[in-house]
Amino acid sequence: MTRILVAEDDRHLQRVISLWLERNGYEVQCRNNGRCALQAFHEWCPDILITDVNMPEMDGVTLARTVLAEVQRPVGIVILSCRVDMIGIGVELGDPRVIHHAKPFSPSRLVEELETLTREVARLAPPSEWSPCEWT
Amino acid sequence: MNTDNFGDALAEQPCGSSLWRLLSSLERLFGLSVGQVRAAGSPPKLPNVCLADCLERSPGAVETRGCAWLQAMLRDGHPPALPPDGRCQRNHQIHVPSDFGSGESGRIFALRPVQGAPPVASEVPDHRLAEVWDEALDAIERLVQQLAQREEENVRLVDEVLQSYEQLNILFEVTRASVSMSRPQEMYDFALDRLSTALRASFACFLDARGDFDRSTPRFSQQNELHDTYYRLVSTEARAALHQAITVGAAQALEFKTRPTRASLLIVPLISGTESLGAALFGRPLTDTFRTGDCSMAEAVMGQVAITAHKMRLFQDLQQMSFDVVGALVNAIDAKDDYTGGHSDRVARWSVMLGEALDMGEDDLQMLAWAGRLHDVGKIGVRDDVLGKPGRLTPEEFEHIKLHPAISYEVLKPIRRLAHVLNGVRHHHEAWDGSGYPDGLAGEQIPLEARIIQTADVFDALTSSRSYREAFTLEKALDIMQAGAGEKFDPDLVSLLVSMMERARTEHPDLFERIPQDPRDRDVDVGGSRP
Repeated sequence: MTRILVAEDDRHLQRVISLWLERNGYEVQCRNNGRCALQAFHEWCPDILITDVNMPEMDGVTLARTVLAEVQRPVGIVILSCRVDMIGIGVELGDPRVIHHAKPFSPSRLVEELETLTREVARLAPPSEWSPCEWT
Repeated sequence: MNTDNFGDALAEQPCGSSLWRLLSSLERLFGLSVGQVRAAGSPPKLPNVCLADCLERSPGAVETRGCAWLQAMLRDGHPPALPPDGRCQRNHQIHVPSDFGSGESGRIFALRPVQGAPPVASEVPDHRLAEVWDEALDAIERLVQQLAQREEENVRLVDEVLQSYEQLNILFEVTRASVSMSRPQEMYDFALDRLSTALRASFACFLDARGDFDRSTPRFSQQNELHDTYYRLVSTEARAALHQAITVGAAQALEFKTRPTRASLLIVPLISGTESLGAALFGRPLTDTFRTGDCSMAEAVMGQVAITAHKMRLFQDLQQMSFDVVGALVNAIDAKDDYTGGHSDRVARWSVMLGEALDMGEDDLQMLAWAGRLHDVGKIGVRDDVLGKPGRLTPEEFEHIKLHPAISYEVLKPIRRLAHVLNGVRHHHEAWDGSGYPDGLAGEQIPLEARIIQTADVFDALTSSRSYREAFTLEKALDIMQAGAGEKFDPDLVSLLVSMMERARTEHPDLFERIPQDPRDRDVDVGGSRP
């Protein structure tokens, strides 16, 4: 089952997103800020990160950059933001697996985008069965 | 059994965890494992806490392995006859409600280890024990039912919240897109596309104000045969209802249940002010009918789109009208001088081509088009006998005709929206060496747009027949311009014009049809060419 980590400081939105994703067959965990999310990323080994941009402790863009730099296996990242300057974030970070999704989020499109992203991540994943996380 | 505490717990907790608390309390206090019977194949009443889940999550999970009674219970959905001693094979006391009928689902049963479990209400005399158990199971059952209701309500609320997010998202995007879109059609396509996804529609299209298919708009359908079904439905059975909905002007969900055109439809009339612009139509299979939430979402989005699209159309009409008015003005000038027929339009086109070759932006190209068309408007103030005079002009006549750029400027100056074209119009007869008119500007003092219009103007004049000479061939005209480059004309623009000829010939062949193609070396006095 594809694992999704949600970094979002709005608890209500966090709950709505996780309920929706669970209903669509994803395994979901949520964190309230970038720092906690980064820790969870290393411990829980999600396949996809959905992150808000403006969060306490560590913002979403820093989180995305750090994840891309520190995590060796392929991961997909969805930057969730209403900020217009974030639309080109995928290009800015130079990674096609980083996409922007406008807030207020569209449940139907988010799921479509996640399917595409999941396929893309799977395509780039190493062929071996184990994930590095299982050894830590 | 006191169930009040559980009630309190339920009020505080989300469903899954309150059931878990209930189960663990039962386990702790009475050593009870509780399960719920579901009819085989029926969907779980409690999405997160179906039986299997209860069994797994209960602290003393009921182990079905090795217990034929439990397995039969789970398989058949009703309890088999109790073993004679009321114990299952795994030595648990079985408690089922005494009125538990066959095939009944949703009922609660309980298992309790025969040994090691805390005593249950030891003060209860044996003959009342069955009654107490019935009461207890009944209470648990009610709680589970309450939980189920809350869970259903939760699901409904979550659905509503999700739909609100979807609606907000589309409205935001429509608003954002309306800034960059200029054609109503783009707007409609965009909204139809986004709503189809959000509504899980297997079909979507636009209808015109009479309820017929609007063939100019896109249709989305997942399969072709589906498309045909919907097409038939809209043109036959649903026709009257759709027309009615458009007339009334309110979104409506409709169901059509006769074969072969079974489907549910959602029609959303597009209204701007009092004008009906037709309707958007969405289709889904009959098994997935449209609900109130779908209606209000589509109505909210399409309402916004209809108003925006209507305003766009009004704007387009106004823009077209001002363009036409300018066209009439230009025609009036061209009519004054037989030999300049179509000249202004051609100057506009050549100017835009030069602008494109210079990588100018859309706004600047628009400005060039307007300035090109209007550059000779001032000829309206030039005397007819001078304008149409065959042969050479007298110095006095020449001075008179030289007034026209300044007149153009004065004519156009009051039109605020054309302020950006004034420079190009006023200075299109300045010369690179400063010998031109009206202001005697030189080199790059002359605004770029004026130099562009001048280049286009001279080129078209040379390749056109005039009252005092025949048209030059393309080669001769370019030669003349190259000879004057750096003296009369901007040398860079002349080179640019020469270099883009081949491309212009492929992209605008009609502009070349009127230029004499055979090189005829006629010896004509170039100095005699007129503005």
